[in-house]
Amino acid sequence: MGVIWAIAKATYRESIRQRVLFVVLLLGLLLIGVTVAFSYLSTGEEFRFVVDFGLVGITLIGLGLAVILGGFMIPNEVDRRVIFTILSKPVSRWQYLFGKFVGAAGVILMLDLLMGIAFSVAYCVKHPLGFGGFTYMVPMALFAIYLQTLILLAVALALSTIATPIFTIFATGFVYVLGAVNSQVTYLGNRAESTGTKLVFLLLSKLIPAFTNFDLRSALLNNQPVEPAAMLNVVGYTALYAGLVLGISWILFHEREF
Amino acid sequence: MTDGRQRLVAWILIGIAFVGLIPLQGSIDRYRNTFRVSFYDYATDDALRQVEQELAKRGLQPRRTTGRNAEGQEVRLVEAAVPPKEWGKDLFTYVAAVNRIKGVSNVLPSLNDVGMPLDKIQDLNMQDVGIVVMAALLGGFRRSAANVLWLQSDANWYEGRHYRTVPLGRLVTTLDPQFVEAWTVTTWHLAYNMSVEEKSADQAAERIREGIQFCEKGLPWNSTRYELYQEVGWTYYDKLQNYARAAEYFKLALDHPHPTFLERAIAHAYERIPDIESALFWYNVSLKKYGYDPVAQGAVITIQQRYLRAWQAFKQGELDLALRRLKEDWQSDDPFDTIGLHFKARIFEAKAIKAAKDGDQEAAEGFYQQAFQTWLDAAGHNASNRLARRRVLTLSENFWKQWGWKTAQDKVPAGMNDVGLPERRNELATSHDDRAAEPQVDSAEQQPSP
Repeated sequence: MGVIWAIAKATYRESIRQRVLFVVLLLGLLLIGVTVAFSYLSTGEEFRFVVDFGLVGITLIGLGLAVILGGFMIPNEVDRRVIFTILSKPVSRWQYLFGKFVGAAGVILMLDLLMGIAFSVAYCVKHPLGFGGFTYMVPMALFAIYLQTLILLAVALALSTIATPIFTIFATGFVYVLGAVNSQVTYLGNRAESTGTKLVFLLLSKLIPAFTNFDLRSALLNNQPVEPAAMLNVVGYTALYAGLVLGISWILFHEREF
Repeated sequence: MTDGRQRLVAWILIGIAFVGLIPLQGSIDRYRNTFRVSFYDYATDDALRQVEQELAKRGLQPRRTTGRNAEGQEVRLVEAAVPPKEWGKDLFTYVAAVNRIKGVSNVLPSLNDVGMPLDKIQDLNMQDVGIVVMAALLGGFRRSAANVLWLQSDANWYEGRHYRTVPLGRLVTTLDPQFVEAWTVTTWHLAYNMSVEEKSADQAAERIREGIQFCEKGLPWNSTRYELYQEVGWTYYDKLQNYARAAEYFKLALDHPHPTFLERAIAHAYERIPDIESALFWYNVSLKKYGYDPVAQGAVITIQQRYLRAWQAFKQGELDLALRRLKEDWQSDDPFDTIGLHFKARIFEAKAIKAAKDGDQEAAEGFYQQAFQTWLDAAGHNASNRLARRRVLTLSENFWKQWGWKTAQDKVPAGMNDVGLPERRNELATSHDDRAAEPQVDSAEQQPSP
C-alpha cells in the first residue's frame, strides 16, 4: 500500500505542475463563465441553459483530462526512461499502474472540485431561488461526472500501456462516444427479434461502459430527487468497471518488454 | 507468486468484475428507467389512486412511496418500473395518461435522456441538423443540441429569416420536449407572426390553429408548468377571442406555481363572454389571494354597478327585465363598452331561443336580427373583436334566408371574416363560444381550483 501511495503522490505532484492542466482548468472555468454570460440568449430558460452546458462542459473537460493524464503518463516515463528506475526497485507493475491511476485520479478530483465550485456558484446565480436553490443533487451530479472520468482515465491508462499517445487519444474518444450511446445499444438489443442478435447487442452493451449511468442532468432540471443509496450502485459500477479495465491493463503491461 | 499465477489471479478478478457488473448494471437500469410521478401537498388520495390506475391500465405495476425533492421536502411519489422493451422510447403514452391529474406536480418518465431516442430520429429534418448537432446527438448531448439549435432559431428571427424559426422550433421540441420556451415561442411565431403574413383569412386561421395544436402537443410533457397552458389560453383569448376556452386553459395553469395575473385573466375572459357571476368570482379570488390588486378592485366595482342586476335577471330567465336593467345601469354610462354590447347581444340570443322554444318563429328571427345588429355594433366599435365578428358571421349564415337577404354576406360588411372561412371558423369557434347564449350558467364553472 505504501508503494502505491508513494507512486500516487509522485504522480500527483508531477502532474499538477503541467501547464497544460492549468490551461484545461482555465478552459473549464471559462466555459462555465461563458455559459452564464450567454444564458440570456435563452430567455426564460437561463437556468436550464447553465445547468446543461455547465455539466456538459465539465464532462468534456473531464474527458480531456483523462486523455491527457492517462494517455501520456506511461509513454512519457518510458521515453524519459524513468520507468526503468522505478521498476528496478521492489515495485511490481500492478503497484506502479495502480499508483499512477490513483495519482491521476487525485489531480482530476482537484480540478473537478474547482470547476464544481464555479458551477455551483453559476447554478445558484441562475436558480430562481438563488443560493437557497442549492441542493445535494448538485454535488451528486458533479460526483457522478467525476466517476465517469475515472472510467475514462482507466481506459486511457490501459491503452497507453500498449499504444502511442495519439492512438490513445482517439481510442479513448471512441470509447467515450460508444459509452454515451450505450443505452441505444441496449435499446436495439431489447428490440431485436432473434435471440442471437439480442445476445450480441446485450453483450456489447455490457462490455461498453454505460455513461448514461452518470448523467443526472434530467433529475437536476426536473427537481427530481435521486436517492443517495441509488448512487452507491453507480459507485460500485465505477469500481468494478475501472477495476476490470485496470486488470486488463495490468495483464497488457505485464507482458510488455522494455 | 509466479508470473503464471499472477496472470491467473488477474483473469479471475477480471471475470468476477465482469460478472459483478451485469446485475449492478441491471439494477442501475431499473432505477433509471423508473416512471416517477410526484404530487403537490394538496393532492388527494384519489389523485394518487387515479395515477396508479392509469399506469396499471397500461401494464405497469405502480407502487406508492415517498422521497425528498431537491429542496429537501418530503413528497409523495408513485413509481413504476418501465419494462425493458420500452427503454429508450419517449414514453409519451404514460406521460399523457397521468399528467393532467389534479395534484400531480412532476412527471419524470426516466432519468435517461442522453442520446436521441431511436424512435424519434425519423421526426428529425436532417436539413436542419448540422454536423455539430449530429455529433452532439451521438455524444449523448441531446439537450445541448436542442439548446444550440434554439440559439440558431433565435438568430434567424433577429436576422429576418423568420420562416426558418418554426422548423427549428419543431426540431428543438422533438429533441427536448421539456424545452418550454421552444414550445411557447414557436406557438407565438405561428399564431402571431406567421398568421398575419398569410394572404387569406382562411390561411391565417390555419396558422393560428397550427400554433394551438403545436402547443397542445407539448402540454403532456410540460403539464406541471403553467407556461404552456397560459400560451394556449392566451392564443384563444387574444387571437381567437374564444374566451370560454381561454378560461379553461388558464384554470389548468392554476394547479401549478404561476404568476399572479392568471386569476385575473380568467375573470377578464369571463366578463367578455360575458359570464358576469364567474368574472366576479375570479376577481374576488384574485383579491383574496393576492390582496392589493387595483385592476380587480376597479373591475368588481364596475361589474357591480353596470351588469350585476341585469345578470341576476338573465340567470332567472327574466330576459326583458335583464335588458331593461342593462339599459338603466350600463348603456347610458358607456354605450360602446364591449362587455355591455356582448351582454346585450347574448340577451337577444337568449330571447330568440326562448321564442323558438315557445313556437314563435317570427319573434325568434326578430330577436336574432337584433342580436346580429348588436354584434355588428360591437365589431364596429372594436376592430379586433373577433368574437363579435364570429357571431355576426354565424348568425348571418344561419338566418339570412329567414331575414330575406339575397346571400349570407348580403348585409355583412366586407372584411368581416378575418378568422377563416365558415368551415374553419366552426372548428375554431367551439360550442363553448356560444355557451352564454343559454341563460343557465354551468355550476361547475363557479368552483375555483384549490
